[in-house]
Amino acid sequence: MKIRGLSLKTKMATVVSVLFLFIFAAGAVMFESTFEEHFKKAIAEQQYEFVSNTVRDIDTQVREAHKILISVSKLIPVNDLNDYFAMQKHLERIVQTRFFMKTFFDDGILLYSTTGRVIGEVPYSPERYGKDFSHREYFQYTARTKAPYISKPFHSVKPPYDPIVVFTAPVFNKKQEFVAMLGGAVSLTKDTTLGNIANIRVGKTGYMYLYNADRTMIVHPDKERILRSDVPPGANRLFDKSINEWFEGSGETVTSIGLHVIGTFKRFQNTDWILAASYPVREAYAPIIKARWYMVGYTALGIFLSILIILIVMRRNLSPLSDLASQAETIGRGERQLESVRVATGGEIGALAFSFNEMLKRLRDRETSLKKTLEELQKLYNAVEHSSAVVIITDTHGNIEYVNPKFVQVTGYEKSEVLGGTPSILKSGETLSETYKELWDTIQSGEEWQGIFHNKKKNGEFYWASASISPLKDTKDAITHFVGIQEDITAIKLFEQELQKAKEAAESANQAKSDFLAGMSHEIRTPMNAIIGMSELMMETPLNDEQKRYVETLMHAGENLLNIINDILDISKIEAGYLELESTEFNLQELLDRSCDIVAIRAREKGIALACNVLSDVPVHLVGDPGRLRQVILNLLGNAIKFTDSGEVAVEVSKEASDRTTLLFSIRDTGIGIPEDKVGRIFEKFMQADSSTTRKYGGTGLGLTISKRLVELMGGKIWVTSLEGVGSTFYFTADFQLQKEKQEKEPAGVATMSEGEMSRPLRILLVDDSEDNRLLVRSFLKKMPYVIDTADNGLAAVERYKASTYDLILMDIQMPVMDGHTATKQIRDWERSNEREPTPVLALTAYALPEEIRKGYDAGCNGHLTKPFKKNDLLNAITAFGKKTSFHKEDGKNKE
Amino acid sequence: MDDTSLIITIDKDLEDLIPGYIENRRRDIASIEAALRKNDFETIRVLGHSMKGSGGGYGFDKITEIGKRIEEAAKVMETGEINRQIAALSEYLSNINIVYE
Repeated sequence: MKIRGLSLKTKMATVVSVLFLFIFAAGAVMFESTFEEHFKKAIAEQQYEFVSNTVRDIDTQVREAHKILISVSKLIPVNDLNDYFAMQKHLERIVQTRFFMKTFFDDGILLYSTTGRVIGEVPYSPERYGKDFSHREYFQYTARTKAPYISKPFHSVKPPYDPIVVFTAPVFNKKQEFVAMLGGAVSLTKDTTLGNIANIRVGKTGYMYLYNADRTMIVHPDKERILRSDVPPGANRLFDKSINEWFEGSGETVTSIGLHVIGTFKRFQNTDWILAASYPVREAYAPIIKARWYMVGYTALGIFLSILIILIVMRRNLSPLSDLASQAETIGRGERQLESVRVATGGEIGALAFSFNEMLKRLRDRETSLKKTLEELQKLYNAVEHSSAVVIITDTHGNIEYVNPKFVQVTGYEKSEVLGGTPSILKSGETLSETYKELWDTIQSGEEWQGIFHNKKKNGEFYWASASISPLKDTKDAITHFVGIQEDITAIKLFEQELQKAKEAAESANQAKSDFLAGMSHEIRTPMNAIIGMSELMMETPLNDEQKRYVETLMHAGENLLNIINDILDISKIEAGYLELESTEFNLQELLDRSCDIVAIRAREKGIALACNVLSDVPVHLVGDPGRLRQVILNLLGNAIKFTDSGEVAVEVSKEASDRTTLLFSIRDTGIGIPEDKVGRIFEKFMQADSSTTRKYGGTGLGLTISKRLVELMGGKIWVTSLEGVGSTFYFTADFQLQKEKQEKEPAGVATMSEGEMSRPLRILLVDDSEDNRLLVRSFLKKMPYVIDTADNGLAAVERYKASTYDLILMDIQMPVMDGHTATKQIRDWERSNEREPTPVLALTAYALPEEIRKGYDAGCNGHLTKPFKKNDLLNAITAFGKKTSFHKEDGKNKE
Repeated sequence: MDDTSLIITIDKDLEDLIPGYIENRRRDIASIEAALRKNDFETIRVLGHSMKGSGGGYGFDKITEIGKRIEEAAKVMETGEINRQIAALSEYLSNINIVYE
C-alpha cells in the first residue's frame, strides 16, 4: 500500500504521534518548570526556615548563657578579689551547680583581674591561671566599655589550643566600679552548642558554617578552615552580600571552593555572627532531575502507547482499506483480472468496496465490449487487408487515405506513392470522361456507384476493373470518406471476348451443319426408302427360309437406320428452324390405339402390361399434327417399355384443367427410373440418364430432345417425375383445335391388354423340397396342358434351368442346400450374362410378411403365391404369368 | 370332440396322395420327438414350416395351423408347446374322416 512513499497508516500514525509528542512535551515542560520553580522556592524557603530556627536556637542559648554569665558575675565576692586562692574557691563554688553554664562554656570559666590576669579558672588549667591576658581584645573592650562582650574567635592557649570565643561580663563592686571581669570560653570544635553547628547536615551533603562580619570562619565542618578568612570578596556572591548588604535568605551561589549550592544566610541578633547553610544543588535538585526523567519517561511511554493504540485502531479500521487498495493496485498493475475485490467490512469502506466492484463490473463490461469491438474491427481490417478485391479509401476530395495490399499487387504502385494522391493516377484515358462525371455526381449525392474502369497500372499495362464506390457517412449523414472496391476483371473481360467469338463461331458452324443436314434430308431418305421398299417387295416374292431370314434382317436393319436418320434429321430441322407443323383433322382415340398397338408387341415380349386410356371427357376429334403427336407418344412409350423390365406401362390422356383444347398426356412406367441428379438434363441432346444405359438399351439419345421441341411447337411443355428403381412418369401438354362438324365425343374405350394365344404347352419348373408339395402341385395341374419338371432345392433348380428352357418357374423359398432367393438371383444373373430374356419366377412362400415378399422381388421374382394355396390360386397365378410368357416364345424369334 | 367336426372334404384328384400324406405326418411326429430328445429345434422348425406350407393345400387346414405353432414354438425352443402340438396332431390324424368329392 505504497502511496507516495509512505503508507496512509504510517502517515496518519506519524502525524498523530508528532501531535501527541508536542502536547505531551509542552505539558511536560510546563509542568516541569512550574514544579521546578515551586520546588526550588520551597527548598529555599525550607532551608531559610531551618537556618533561621537554628540561628534562633543558638542565639537564644548564647544569650541565655551570656545572661547567666552576667548574673554569675554579680555573685563574685568582690571583697576577696585580692585573695586569688579564695577567689578560685569562690568561683569553683559558684560554678559548681551551674551545669548549663559549665556545659556551654566548655573551655572553661575564667575570672580576670582588672589588669587582665586570670585569677580564677574552672576548671583549673596551668596554661591560663595566673597569666596575663590584658592584651586580648575582649578584655580590653570590656575593661574599656565595662560592658559584656563576645570575643572574636581565636586559639586558646590551653592545649589542644582549640579555637574558641570568650564571652565576657564585667564585675562591679558596690560602687559600681569595674573590679574584675568574668569570662566564659566556648570551644568551637567541641560538640557543644556552637561546635555542634558543624555537625548539622542539610540533606545528606549540605552543611552549615558560622562566620562573622570580618569574614572569619567561626564554626565549619572543615575544622581547618576555622579562624581563617579564606573567602575572599567576590568568591561567593551571597557571602559577600550577607556581609555587605546584611542579606538574609536563600539563593543559588557558588562557594569559595567552587561548589554550586543553595546558600542560606542568617544574622545573629547579639553578635556580628552570620550562620550559613550550603546545600549542594546536585542533591537539592536531585528530585527535580528525577522528576524530569520521570516526566520524560512518562511522556515517552505516553507517546509510545498513543502510537500503539493509534496503530491498532487504524490497523483495525484501515486494513480493509489497505486490502482494498492493494487489490486495486494489483488490478491496476494488470496482475489480476478485473475480479471483484473482497472486503469483509461494512461502513464507508464496505460501501467504497461495493462501489469499486460496481466500477470494476462496468469496467469489465466495457472491456468486454471493447474487446468485442476490437475483434470486430480486426476482423474487418483483416477482411479489407486480405480482400481479393482492391480497396481504396479516400477523403471527400478524393485524396487517398488507404489502399490495401491487393491494390499494390494489382496496380504496381506502392502505398507511399499513392497515399495523399488521387485515384486518377490509374486513369488510362480509355474510360470515358462521362463515366467519371457520373461517378462523382452519384457518390457526392450519397449514392453508391457501380461501373467498370479501364485502368492503367504503374508499368503502363491496362486492366479492367469492376468498381463499386460508395460514400461513408457519419452519424449526421454527412459524407466523410469514399470507399472504392475494385476487382480486376481483365481475365473475365478477355474470356468474355473469347467466349463471344467462340459462340459466334459455334453458332455459325451449327447453323451450317443444320443447313447441311436439312438439305441432306431428301438425299438420304430417298435411297433408304428404296432399300426398305425393295426389301418389302422382295418379301412378297417366293423365298426359301434362309433368304427370308436375310431379307428380314435387311428390312429390320434398314428400318432401324431410317429411324436413326429420321431422328437426326428431325433435330437438325428443328434446330435449323425448318420444321413446321401440319394442321389436319385426326381422331385422338385412334391415334393412341394405333400407337399402343405398335408397342404392344414389345411390351408382351417383355412381359409388361400395357394400358392406353383416353379419359371420357377428352375430345377426340381434333385438328393438329397427328404425325408429330404420334412421334412424341411413340417415343415416350418406346422409352417406357425399353426401360421397364416388369410391371406395367400406362398411357393416359386427360384435359389440362378446364381448357378443352389443351390436353395432358402421361406415360407412366414401373421401370428403372431416372437418378435424381439426371432428371433435369434428360431432355438435352445426346443425354441419357446413364452412359451405361446406351450400351444396355441402345438409342441415339435424341428422342427426348425431339419430343421436347415438338411439344413446344405444339404449344405445350414436357416434364418428368421419376423415382429411381420405382418408375417414371413423363407428362406433356399440347394445344389442339376442335373439328368443326364433330364436336360430340365418342366414348373412349379402355385399351385392354392385348390378348395373346397359347399355342403350345407351358413348360413349368417346380422347385420345392417338400415332396408333399410337389405331389400336391402336380395333382393340381394334372389336367392342365403343362409340362412340369421338378427340383427339390435351389441349386438343382438352377442346374435344371440352365439345361433347358421354361416358361415359368414356381420357386419355393425355404429349402435346404440353396434357398429360393439365392436360386432366383443366380438364374437372373445367368440370364443376364447369357443375354436371355428373363423367365417369370413365381415365389411360393409360407412367409406372408411383406418384408419377405419384397425380398423375393429384390431377388428377381415376378410374383408370389402364399402357401398353403388352393388349386384355383395356383391356376390363376400360372395363367397370369403364362399369358405373357407364351408371346415371348412365339414372337421373340421374329424380333431378334 | 364329436365325429362330424372331423369330417374333412378333399378334392378327388388328391385321393391317391392322402394316405401317403398322412403317413408322412406320422413320420413327422416321430422325427419331431427324436429331434426333441437331441434339442434339435431347427429340424423341428423346418418340419413345422413344411406342415404349415402343405396342410391347407391338401385340405387339412388344421395341419397348417399345427405346423405354424410347431414352427413358432421351435423358434423360441418351447418344448412343452411342441409336445402339446404333436399330441394334438397325433390325435387329429387318428380321428379324421376324409370324404373325397
